[in-house]
Amino acid sequence: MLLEISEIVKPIVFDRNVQMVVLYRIDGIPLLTEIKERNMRMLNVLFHLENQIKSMLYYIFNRNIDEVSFKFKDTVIRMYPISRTLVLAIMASDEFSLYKLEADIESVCDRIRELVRYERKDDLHAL
Amino acid sequence: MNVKTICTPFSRYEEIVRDLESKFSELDFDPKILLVFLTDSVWDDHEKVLEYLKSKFPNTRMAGCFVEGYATPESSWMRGLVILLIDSDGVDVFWAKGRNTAETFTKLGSEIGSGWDSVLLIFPAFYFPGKFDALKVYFNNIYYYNLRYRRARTVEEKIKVLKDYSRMLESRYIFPVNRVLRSMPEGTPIIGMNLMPLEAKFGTPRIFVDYENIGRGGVAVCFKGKVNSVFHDVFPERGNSFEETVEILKTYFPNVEIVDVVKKGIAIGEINGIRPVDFLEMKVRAYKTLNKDATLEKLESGRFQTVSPYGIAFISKETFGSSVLGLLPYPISIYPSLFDLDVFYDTAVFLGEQFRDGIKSFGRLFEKKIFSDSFDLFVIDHNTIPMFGRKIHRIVDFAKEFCSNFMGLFSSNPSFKSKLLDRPYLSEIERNLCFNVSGTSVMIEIEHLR
Repeated sequence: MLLEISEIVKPIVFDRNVQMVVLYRIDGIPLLTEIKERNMRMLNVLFHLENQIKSMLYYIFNRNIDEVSFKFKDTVIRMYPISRTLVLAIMASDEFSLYKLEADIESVCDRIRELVRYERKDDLHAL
Repeated sequence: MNVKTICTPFSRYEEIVRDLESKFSELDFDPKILLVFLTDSVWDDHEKVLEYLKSKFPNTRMAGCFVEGYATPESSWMRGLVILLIDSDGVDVFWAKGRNTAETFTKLGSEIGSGWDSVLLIFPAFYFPGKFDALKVYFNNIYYYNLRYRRARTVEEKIKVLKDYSRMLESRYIFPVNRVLRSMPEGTPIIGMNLMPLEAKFGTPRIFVDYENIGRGGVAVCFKGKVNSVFHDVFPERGNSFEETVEILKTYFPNVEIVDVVKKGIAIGEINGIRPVDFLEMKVRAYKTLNKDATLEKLESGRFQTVSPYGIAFISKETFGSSVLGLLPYPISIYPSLFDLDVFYDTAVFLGEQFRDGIKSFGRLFEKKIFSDSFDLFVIDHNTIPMFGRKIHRIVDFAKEFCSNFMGLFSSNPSFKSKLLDRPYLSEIERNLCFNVSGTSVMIEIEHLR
């Protein structure tokens, strides 16, 4: 299944703005990590995320948060709940407008949901 | 009639070819027409991709252009490309190129002839040719404003300068949308894809016929058979007089202010006695007019924004309909318009843009369907992407409720010309002709092609 998920996220991994795509399990363990450049900065970000992830996940799943966003100097990290046990985290440069990327991330989340056969809860994503 | 939609969300040539090859292998007919819509992510490799498609379908007629995104029943993406393959004699492609709007589209109109049931017209509303031409626009603007417009003593003299400037713009950069539709033949419903990318760069918008870039020209994809053309805008109905429409705009939009405009053709000289960019800066403190170098840098890097939440709503003398022209803080003293302003009153309305009912208002397009088992090609105003972000997927959900097989495009606010309009649209700015810079959507229902 991870291979299939890796294929699904591929179009956004190739995005010029995207630096990292990580699929997290509810306990904060990364299941799939796609990193463009492996450097110290990225390691620091991953370390920071590891420290934050559990509390963030708590808010996503218990307070119906639709999306969580961290903003560093020129980088933004967004986390999107996919199911009750999976969260997709994307790290992207905010030099370019991200609205198209966000629309595509929703497509990716939908396709992963289909794969894991998760039905989206309306209260979690209501307009 | 065989119709199939194939898309790939990949952006690199190798990935695109790999994905398309596997999808083409399942194709069970030879297409006669290929409509190819590419997104910005494919920009670097698009020539190679078109070469590949040409080698794959050498005898197939092709038309296409760049769009912002697309949707099919399976997925929707703002990257990669989508191809509509049609096997039928009831569809054909024509194109023309001329020195100005009238020449290009009269030529195209005579090429098309009669007997078609719907026409998808693709043309650049604003063409961004190259750095040299952009500099020419900038210096022309300085010449026309500083040396001629500012020295004009009367409104008549100012209007004469604007008329000359307007003619220059139309000969090189702008196809005014209402003038284009006016030049096209009467009788057949025409859906206008008046292209203007959300973020422009040099050489955009790009339109293709038979795998070649045609530059600043017009392309008509004509359909014959059991075809229905549908238009929708998200606004309330227009009023029966200037005052009524102003009242409707005041109720619908926030931050409304009545303004006086000096305009002619497709050029605006002043709003309330000052330059349009100064007026915008005065009204919206956050906007600071960019300088020449910053503007060119944006055009070079593909970050030249063409949408704005603030604009001037002009009211038509002919129908009392209205169209909004967005105002952007670029260093141009005489402000260009994407539509011919001569049919509008000199008194207009400055407003901030909003869509009541949010994204749901765009879903009403699909409620107007008349065929239950058709293939539907729809175009949604691309302003929905920055406006609604991830929520634009709701539009695809709405489409799925009414359409079984479809291809949707997110592209410039489409225009429409038809004698069969179902209500007095606010966007009907001339009799049977609808255009607005945001909030419009169109659909072609194809039940059967002859």
